Amino acid sequence: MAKFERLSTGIKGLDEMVDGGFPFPSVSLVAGGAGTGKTTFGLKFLTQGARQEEQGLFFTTLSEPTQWMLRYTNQFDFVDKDFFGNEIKYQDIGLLVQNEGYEELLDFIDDKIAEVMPQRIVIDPITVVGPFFEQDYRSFLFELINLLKNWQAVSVLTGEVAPGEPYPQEVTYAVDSVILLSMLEEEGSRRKYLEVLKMRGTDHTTGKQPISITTEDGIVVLKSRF
Amino acid sequence: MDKKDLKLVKNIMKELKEVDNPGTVLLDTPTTQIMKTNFFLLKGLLDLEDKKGYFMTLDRPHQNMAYLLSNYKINQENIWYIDNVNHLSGNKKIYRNNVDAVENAFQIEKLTEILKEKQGKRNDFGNLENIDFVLIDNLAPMLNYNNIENIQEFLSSFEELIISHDNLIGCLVMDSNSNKNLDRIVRKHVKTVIDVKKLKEDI
Repeated sequence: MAKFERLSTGIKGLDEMVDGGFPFPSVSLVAGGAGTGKTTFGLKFLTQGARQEEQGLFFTTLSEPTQWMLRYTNQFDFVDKDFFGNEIKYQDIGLLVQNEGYEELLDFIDDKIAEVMPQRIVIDPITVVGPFFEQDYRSFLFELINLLKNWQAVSVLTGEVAPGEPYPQEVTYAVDSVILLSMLEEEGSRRKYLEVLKMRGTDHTTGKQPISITTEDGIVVLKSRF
Repeated sequence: MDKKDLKLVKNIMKELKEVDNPGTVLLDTPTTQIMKTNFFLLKGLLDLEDKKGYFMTLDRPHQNMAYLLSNYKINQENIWYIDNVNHLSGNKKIYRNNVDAVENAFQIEKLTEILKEKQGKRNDFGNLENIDFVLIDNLAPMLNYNNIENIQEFLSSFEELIISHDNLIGCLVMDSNSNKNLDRIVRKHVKTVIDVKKLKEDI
Protein backbone atom coordinates (compact mmCIF):
# COMPACT_ATOMS: atom_id res chain seq x y z
CA MET A 1 0.00 0.00 0.00
CA ALA A 2 1.04 3.60 -0.58
CA LYS A 3 1.42 5.31 2.77
CA PHE A 4 -0.91 8.19 3.61
CA GLU A 5 0.71 11.56 3.20
CA ARG A 6 -0.33 13.64 6.21
CA LEU A 7 -0.51 17.37 6.70
CA SER A 8 0.28 18.77 10.12
CA THR A 9 -2.80 20.23 11.79
CA GLY A 10 -0.72 23.03 13.29
CA ILE A 11 -2.39 22.40 16.68
CA LYS A 12 0.24 21.65 19.34
CA GLY A 13 -0.29 18.11 20.62
CA LEU A 14 -2.93 17.11 18.04
CA ASP A 15 -0.58 15.66 15.41
CA GLU A 16 0.69 13.19 18.00
CA MET A 17 -2.91 12.07 18.60
CA VAL A 18 -3.62 11.36 14.91
CA ASP A 19 -0.54 9.64 13.47
CA GLY A 20 1.06 12.91 12.37
CA GLY A 21 -1.80 14.93 10.90
CA PHE A 22 -4.79 14.93 8.57
CA PRO A 23 -4.59 12.38 5.71
CA PHE A 24 -3.98 14.05 2.34
CA PRO A 25 -6.41 14.45 0.64
CA SER A 26 -9.37 14.30 3.05
CA VAL A 27 -12.34 16.25 4.40
CA SER A 28 -12.72 16.85 8.14
CA LEU A 29 -15.35 18.38 10.35
CA VAL A 30 -14.32 20.42 13.38
CA ALA A 31 -17.49 20.86 15.42
CA GLY A 32 -18.30 22.64 18.63
CA GLY A 33 -20.48 25.18 20.38
CA ALA A 34 -19.90 28.92 20.50
CA GLY A 35 -16.49 29.95 21.80
CA THR A 36 -14.89 26.51 21.62
CA GLY A 37 -12.25 27.57 19.05
CA LYS A 38 -13.52 26.37 15.67
CA THR A 39 -12.38 29.41 13.68
CA THR A 40 -9.10 29.50 15.59
CA PHE A 41 -8.59 25.85 14.63
CA GLY A 42 -9.15 26.71 10.97
CA LEU A 43 -6.76 29.65 11.11
CA LYS A 44 -4.05 27.64 12.83
CA PHE A 45 -4.42 24.90 10.23
CA LEU A 46 -4.02 27.39 7.37
CA THR A 47 -1.12 29.31 8.91
CA GLN A 48 0.72 26.03 9.53
CA GLY A 49 0.35 25.32 5.80
CA ALA A 50 1.44 28.83 4.86
CA ARG A 51 4.67 28.34 6.81
CA GLN A 52 5.26 25.15 4.80
CA GLU A 53 4.62 26.91 1.45
CA GLU A 54 1.25 25.23 1.07
CA GLN A 55 -1.49 27.35 -0.43
CA GLY A 56 -4.56 27.92 1.74
CA LEU A 57 -8.10 29.01 0.90
CA PHE A 58 -10.50 30.25 3.59
CA PHE A 59 -14.21 30.44 2.76
CA THR A 60 -16.42 32.25 5.23
CA THR A 61 -20.17 31.76 5.06
CA LEU A 62 -20.83 34.66 7.41
CA SER A 63 -20.72 37.63 4.97
CA GLU A 64 -17.81 38.93 6.98
CA PRO A 65 -15.64 41.60 5.31
CA THR A 66 -11.93 40.74 5.00
CA GLN A 67 -10.96 43.69 7.19
CA TRP A 68 -13.13 42.37 10.00
CA MET A 69 -11.52 38.99 9.69
CA LEU A 70 -8.05 40.56 9.73
CA ARG A 71 -8.93 42.61 12.78
CA TYR A 72 -9.87 39.46 14.61
CA THR A 73 -6.90 37.41 13.45
CA ASN A 74 -4.43 40.17 14.32
CA GLN A 75 -5.04 39.34 17.98
CA PHE A 76 -3.17 36.08 17.44
CA ASP A 77 0.62 36.06 17.56
CA PHE A 78 0.77 32.94 15.37
CA VAL A 79 -0.86 34.72 12.42
CA ASP A 80 1.43 36.58 10.04
CA LYS A 81 -0.90 39.07 8.35
CA ASP A 82 1.24 39.01 5.21
CA PHE A 83 -0.14 35.52 4.64
CA PHE A 84 -3.57 36.97 3.82
CA GLY A 85 -3.98 37.58 0.12
CA ASN A 86 -0.89 35.48 -0.57
CA GLU A 87 -0.47 32.05 1.05
CA ILE A 88 -3.99 32.31 2.47
CA LYS A 89 -6.74 33.54 0.17
CA TYR A 90 -9.90 34.71 1.88
CA GLN A 91 -13.29 34.38 0.20
CA ASP A 92 -16.65 35.51 1.53
CA ILE A 93 -19.47 33.29 0.22
CA GLY A 94 -22.12 34.59 2.62
CA LEU A 95 -24.12 36.45 -0.02
CA LEU A 96 -24.07 33.46 -2.34
CA VAL A 97 -25.39 31.27 0.46
CA GLN A 98 -28.23 33.73 1.05
CA ASN A 99 -29.14 34.56 -2.54
CA GLU A 100 -28.22 31.65 -4.81
CA GLY A 101 -29.16 28.00 -5.18
CA TYR A 102 -26.84 25.29 -3.97
CA GLU A 103 -25.66 24.38 -7.46
CA GLU A 104 -24.50 27.96 -8.11
CA LEU A 105 -22.70 27.93 -4.78
CA LEU A 106 -20.95 24.65 -5.62
CA ASP A 107 -19.90 26.02 -9.02
CA PHE A 108 -18.47 29.10 -7.34
CA ILE A 109 -16.51 27.02 -4.82
CA ASP A 110 -15.25 24.77 -7.64
CA ASP A 111 -14.13 27.82 -9.66
CA LYS A 112 -12.37 29.36 -6.70
CA ILE A 113 -10.50 26.15 -5.89
CA ALA A 114 -9.45 25.82 -9.53
CA GLU A 115 -8.20 29.41 -9.48
CA VAL A 116 -6.24 29.18 -6.21
CA MET A 117 -5.17 25.48 -6.38
CA PRO A 118 -4.92 25.18 -2.58
CA GLN A 119 -3.52 22.30 -0.59
CA ARG A 120 -5.56 23.42 2.45
CA ILE A 121 -9.18 24.60 2.45
CA VAL A 122 -11.33 25.83 5.34
CA ILE A 123 -15.09 26.49 5.14
CA ASP A 124 -16.21 28.33 8.28
CA PRO A 125 -18.89 27.50 9.35
CA ILE A 126 -20.62 25.04 7.03
CA THR A 127 -23.69 24.63 9.26
CA VAL A 128 -24.87 28.18 8.47
CA VAL A 129 -25.81 26.90 5.02
CA GLY A 130 -28.42 24.40 6.28
CA PRO A 131 -31.38 26.72 6.90
CA PHE A 132 -30.94 28.40 3.49
CA PHE A 133 -31.03 25.21 1.48
CA GLU A 134 -33.50 23.30 3.69
CA GLN A 135 -34.45 20.11 1.81
CA ASP A 136 -31.45 20.47 -0.52
CA TYR A 137 -28.97 20.64 2.37
CA ARG A 138 -28.07 16.95 2.30
CA SER A 139 -27.63 16.98 -1.48
CA PHE A 140 -25.49 20.10 -1.15
CA LEU A 141 -23.31 18.50 1.54
CA PHE A 142 -22.91 15.28 -0.40
CA GLU A 143 -21.86 17.13 -3.56
CA LEU A 144 -19.64 19.60 -1.70
CA ILE A 145 -17.76 16.87 0.13
CA ASN A 146 -17.37 14.89 -3.07
CA LEU A 147 -16.12 17.99 -4.85
CA LEU A 148 -13.60 18.68 -2.09
CA LYS A 149 -12.38 15.08 -2.06
CA ASN A 150 -11.80 15.15 -5.79
CA TRP A 151 -9.45 18.12 -5.50
CA GLN A 152 -5.99 17.44 -4.08
CA ALA A 153 -6.43 19.17 -0.75
CA VAL A 154 -7.12 18.70 2.93
CA SER A 155 -10.38 20.44 3.75
CA VAL A 156 -11.61 21.43 7.19
CA LEU A 157 -15.29 22.30 7.60
CA THR A 158 -16.28 23.88 10.87
CA GLY A 159 -19.72 23.22 12.30
CA GLU A 160 -21.79 24.81 15.00
CA VAL A 161 -23.22 22.32 17.50
CA ALA A 162 -26.70 23.18 18.72
CA PRO A 163 -27.42 22.80 22.46
CA GLY A 164 -28.26 19.18 23.27
CA GLU A 165 -26.89 17.92 19.95
CA PRO A 166 -23.68 15.80 20.09
CA TYR A 167 -22.48 16.97 16.65
CA PRO A 168 -23.98 18.14 13.32
CA GLN A 169 -25.13 14.75 12.10
CA GLU A 170 -25.83 15.69 8.47
CA VAL A 171 -22.16 16.58 7.99
CA THR A 172 -20.64 13.86 10.13
CA TYR A 173 -21.78 10.95 8.01
CA ALA A 174 -19.98 12.17 4.91
CA VAL A 175 -16.60 13.39 6.17
CA ASP A 176 -13.41 11.42 6.79
CA SER A 177 -12.68 12.86 10.22
CA VAL A 178 -14.61 14.45 13.05
CA ILE A 179 -12.99 16.52 15.79
CA LEU A 180 -15.22 17.78 18.57
CA LEU A 181 -14.44 20.90 20.58
CA SER A 182 -16.42 21.32 23.77
CA MET A 183 -16.70 23.47 26.84
CA LEU A 184 -17.79 21.90 30.14
CA GLU A 185 -18.56 23.53 33.44
CA GLU A 186 -16.45 21.95 36.15
CA GLU A 187 -16.00 23.16 39.69
CA GLY A 188 -17.41 26.56 38.86
CA SER A 189 -15.29 27.20 35.77
CA ARG A 190 -15.58 26.36 32.09
CA ARG A 191 -12.94 24.04 30.70
CA LYS A 192 -12.32 23.35 27.05
CA TYR A 193 -11.75 19.95 25.45
CA LEU A 194 -10.84 18.42 22.11
CA GLU A 195 -11.86 14.92 21.09
CA VAL A 196 -11.07 12.99 17.92
CA LEU A 197 -14.32 11.19 17.27
CA LYS A 198 -13.24 9.55 14.04
CA MET A 199 -10.39 9.73 11.55
CA ARG A 200 -10.47 7.18 8.77
CA GLY A 201 -7.30 5.16 8.23
CA THR A 202 -5.81 6.54 11.44
CA ASP A 203 -4.95 4.96 14.76
CA HIS A 204 -6.03 7.97 16.82
CA THR A 205 -6.24 8.77 20.50
CA THR A 206 -9.74 8.61 21.91
CA GLY A 207 -11.37 10.53 24.75
CA LYS A 208 -11.64 14.21 25.61
CA GLN A 209 -8.30 15.98 25.90
CA PRO A 210 -8.10 19.29 27.80
CA ILE A 211 -7.07 22.27 25.64
CA SER A 212 -6.36 25.92 26.11
CA ILE A 213 -6.73 28.75 23.62
CA THR A 214 -4.05 31.40 23.78
CA THR A 215 -3.20 34.40 21.60
CA GLU A 216 0.34 33.07 21.30
CA ASP A 217 -0.35 29.57 19.97
CA GLY A 218 -4.08 29.37 19.28
CA ILE A 219 -5.32 25.96 20.40
CA VAL A 220 -2.94 23.82 22.45
CA VAL A 221 -3.63 20.28 23.68
CA LEU A 222 -2.50 20.62 27.28
CA LYS A 223 -0.97 17.13 27.43
CA SER A 224 1.65 18.32 24.92
CA ARG A 225 3.03 20.71 27.53
CA PHE A 226 4.08 17.95 29.91
CA MET B 1 -0.51 31.14 -11.65
CA ASP B 2 2.14 33.72 -10.75
CA LYS B 3 5.55 34.54 -12.27
CA LYS B 4 7.30 31.92 -10.17
CA ASP B 5 4.86 29.24 -11.34
CA LEU B 6 5.41 30.23 -14.96
CA LYS B 7 9.17 30.12 -14.47
CA LEU B 8 8.80 26.63 -13.02
CA VAL B 9 6.72 25.57 -16.04
CA LYS B 10 9.46 26.87 -18.38
CA ASN B 11 12.18 25.13 -16.38
CA ILE B 12 10.28 21.83 -16.49
CA MET B 13 9.92 22.22 -20.27
CA LYS B 14 13.66 22.94 -20.55
CA GLU B 15 14.45 19.76 -18.62
CA LEU B 16 12.03 17.72 -20.75
CA LYS B 17 13.70 18.91 -23.94
CA GLU B 18 16.96 17.42 -22.70
CA VAL B 19 15.38 13.95 -22.50
CA ASP B 20 16.29 11.89 -25.56
CA ASN B 21 13.11 11.08 -27.41
CA PRO B 22 11.57 8.63 -27.46
CA GLY B 23 11.84 8.09 -23.74
CA THR B 24 10.20 7.95 -20.36
CA VAL B 25 10.74 10.43 -17.57
CA LEU B 26 9.80 10.53 -13.89
CA LEU B 27 8.80 13.88 -12.43
CA ASP B 28 9.42 13.47 -8.73
CA THR B 29 7.22 15.87 -6.75
CA PRO B 30 5.72 15.97 -3.24
CA THR B 31 2.30 14.31 -2.97
CA THR B 32 0.65 17.61 -2.06
CA GLN B 33 1.91 19.11 -5.33
CA ILE B 34 1.00 16.33 -7.77
CA MET B 35 -2.08 17.99 -9.19
CA LYS B 36 -0.16 21.25 -9.63
CA THR B 37 2.75 19.47 -11.29
CA ASN B 38 0.37 17.71 -13.70
CA PHE B 39 -1.21 21.06 -14.44
CA PHE B 40 2.16 22.79 -14.96
CA LEU B 41 3.23 20.00 -17.30
CA LEU B 42 0.06 20.35 -19.35
CA LYS B 43 0.35 24.13 -19.35
CA GLY B 44 3.87 23.78 -20.76
CA LEU B 45 3.19 21.00 -23.23
CA LEU B 46 -0.17 22.20 -24.58
CA ASP B 47 0.11 25.94 -24.23
CA LEU B 48 3.79 26.84 -24.50
CA GLU B 49 5.06 24.01 -26.71
CA ASP B 50 1.92 23.34 -28.75
CA LYS B 51 2.23 19.58 -28.20
CA LYS B 52 -0.44 16.93 -28.45
CA GLY B 53 -0.96 14.05 -26.06
CA TYR B 54 -2.85 11.72 -23.78
CA PHE B 55 -3.42 12.22 -20.06
CA MET B 56 -4.16 9.01 -18.16
CA THR B 57 -5.79 9.79 -14.83
CA LEU B 58 -5.18 7.32 -12.00
CA ASP B 59 -5.73 9.39 -8.88
CA ARG B 60 -8.26 12.16 -9.56
CA PRO B 61 -10.99 12.05 -12.23
CA HIS B 62 -10.28 13.94 -15.46
CA GLN B 63 -12.94 16.59 -14.70
CA ASN B 64 -10.66 18.30 -12.21
CA MET B 65 -7.85 18.80 -14.71
CA ALA B 66 -10.26 19.72 -17.51
CA TYR B 67 -11.76 22.30 -15.17
CA LEU B 68 -8.35 23.69 -14.23
CA LEU B 69 -7.24 23.95 -17.86
CA SER B 70 -10.44 25.69 -18.91
CA ASN B 71 -10.18 28.02 -15.92
CA TYR B 72 -6.74 29.07 -17.16
CA LYS B 73 -8.00 29.25 -20.75
CA ILE B 74 -5.69 26.53 -21.98
CA ASN B 75 -6.91 25.05 -25.24
CA GLN B 76 -7.91 21.40 -24.83
CA GLU B 77 -8.10 20.46 -28.50
CA ASN B 78 -4.75 18.71 -28.21
CA ILE B 79 -5.39 16.64 -25.12
CA TRP B 80 -7.28 13.36 -24.82
CA TYR B 81 -8.15 12.01 -21.38
CA ILE B 82 -8.09 8.34 -20.52
CA ASP B 83 -9.89 8.34 -17.19
CA ASN B 84 -9.43 5.24 -15.05
CA VAL B 85 -11.00 6.49 -11.86
CA ASN B 86 -14.10 8.45 -12.75
CA HIS B 87 -16.27 5.44 -11.96
CA LEU B 88 -14.77 5.38 -8.45
CA SER B 89 -15.05 9.11 -7.82
CA GLY B 90 -18.80 9.66 -7.50
CA ASN B 91 -18.34 12.53 -9.94
CA LYS B 92 -21.56 13.45 -11.69
CA LYS B 93 -20.24 16.04 -14.12
CA ILE B 94 -20.86 15.36 -17.79
CA TYR B 95 -18.02 13.94 -19.84
CA ARG B 96 -16.25 16.12 -22.31
CA ASN B 97 -16.04 14.74 -25.83
CA ASN B 98 -12.30 14.10 -25.52
CA VAL B 99 -12.44 11.37 -22.90
CA ASP B 100 -12.26 7.60 -22.81
CA ALA B 101 -13.78 6.55 -19.52
CA VAL B 102 -12.32 3.15 -18.75
CA GLU B 103 -12.69 0.99 -15.68
CA ASN B 104 -9.21 -0.37 -15.36
CA ALA B 105 -8.20 0.83 -11.93
CA PHE B 106 -8.06 -2.78 -10.73
CA GLN B 107 -6.21 -4.03 -13.80
CA ILE B 108 -3.43 -1.56 -14.38
CA GLU B 109 -1.48 -4.03 -16.51
CA LYS B 110 -4.15 -3.57 -19.19
CA LEU B 111 -3.65 0.18 -19.50
CA THR B 112 -1.01 -0.11 -22.19
CA GLU B 113 -3.47 -2.09 -24.31
CA ILE B 114 -5.75 0.95 -24.33
CA LEU B 115 -2.91 3.07 -25.66
CA LYS B 116 -1.98 0.41 -28.20
CA GLU B 117 -5.52 0.54 -29.54
CA LYS B 118 -4.75 4.12 -30.49
CA GLN B 119 -1.91 3.20 -32.80
CA GLY B 120 -2.46 2.75 -36.48
CA LYS B 121 -6.14 3.31 -35.91
CA ARG B 122 -8.11 6.19 -37.31
CA ASN B 123 -9.77 8.15 -34.62
CA ASP B 124 -10.85 11.74 -34.11
CA PHE B 125 -7.82 12.64 -32.05
CA GLY B 126 -4.97 10.91 -33.84
CA ASN B 127 -3.02 7.72 -33.43
CA LEU B 128 0.18 7.32 -31.48
CA GLU B 129 2.35 8.20 -34.50
CA ASN B 130 1.03 11.77 -34.33
CA ILE B 131 1.21 12.17 -30.58
CA ASP B 132 3.97 13.95 -28.67
CA PHE B 133 3.38 12.83 -25.09
CA VAL B 134 1.59 10.48 -22.74
CA LEU B 135 1.25 11.79 -19.20
CA ILE B 136 0.49 9.29 -16.46
CA ASP B 137 -1.02 10.62 -13.25
CA ASN B 138 0.20 9.58 -9.79
CA LEU B 139 0.89 5.83 -9.84
CA ALA B 140 1.00 5.39 -6.06
CA PRO B 141 -2.80 5.12 -5.49
CA MET B 142 -2.83 2.18 -7.90
CA LEU B 143 -1.20 0.19 -5.08
CA ASN B 144 -4.58 0.31 -3.40
CA TYR B 145 -6.08 -1.79 -6.20
CA ASN B 146 -3.18 -3.70 -7.73
CA ASN B 147 -0.19 -5.66 -6.58
CA ILE B 148 3.30 -4.42 -7.30
CA GLU B 149 3.89 -7.12 -9.95
CA ASN B 150 0.96 -5.82 -12.03
CA ILE B 151 2.29 -2.28 -11.78
CA GLN B 152 5.71 -3.51 -12.85
CA GLU B 153 4.13 -5.30 -15.81
CA PHE B 154 2.38 -2.08 -16.79
CA LEU B 155 5.59 -0.06 -16.51
CA SER B 156 7.51 -2.52 -18.72
CA SER B 157 4.88 -2.49 -21.45
CA PHE B 158 4.46 1.29 -21.18
CA GLU B 159 8.20 1.90 -21.59
CA GLU B 160 8.30 -0.52 -24.52
CA LEU B 161 5.40 1.27 -26.20
CA ILE B 162 6.93 4.71 -25.74
CA ILE B 163 10.34 3.83 -27.11
CA SER B 164 8.80 2.13 -30.15
CA HIS B 165 7.44 5.47 -31.36
CA ASP B 166 9.73 8.24 -32.58
CA ASN B 167 9.51 11.51 -30.70
CA LEU B 168 7.09 10.21 -28.12
CA ILE B 169 7.72 11.05 -24.49
CA GLY B 170 6.15 9.26 -21.53
CA CYS B 171 5.86 11.30 -18.32
CA LEU B 172 5.19 9.75 -14.92
CA VAL B 173 4.41 12.07 -12.02
CA MET B 174 4.93 10.66 -8.53
CA ASP B 175 6.26 11.33 -5.05
CA SER B 176 9.31 9.11 -4.57
CA ASN B 177 8.58 9.03 -0.83
CA SER B 178 5.07 7.62 -1.19
CA ASN B 179 6.33 4.04 -1.60
CA LYS B 180 10.01 3.21 -1.78
CA ASN B 181 9.49 -0.13 -3.52
CA LEU B 182 7.35 1.47 -6.22
CA ASP B 183 9.86 4.28 -6.63
CA ARG B 184 12.69 1.76 -7.11
CA ILE B 185 10.69 -0.05 -9.81
CA VAL B 186 9.64 3.15 -11.58
CA ARG B 187 13.24 4.34 -11.74
CA LYS B 188 14.19 1.13 -13.60
CA HIS B 189 11.77 2.10 -16.36
CA VAL B 190 12.63 5.76 -16.89
CA LYS B 191 15.53 7.41 -18.69
CA THR B 192 15.54 10.56 -16.63
CA VAL B 193 14.31 11.80 -13.26
CA ILE B 194 13.33 15.45 -12.88
CA ASP B 195 13.27 16.68 -9.27
CA VAL B 196 10.42 19.22 -9.40
CA LYS B 197 10.86 20.29 -5.77
CA LYS B 198 14.50 21.13 -6.47
CA LEU B 199 13.58 23.04 -9.64
CA LYS B 200 11.10 25.06 -7.56
CA GLU B 201 13.66 25.77 -4.85
CA ASP B 202 16.16 26.99 -7.46
CA ILE B 203 13.82 29.72 -8.71
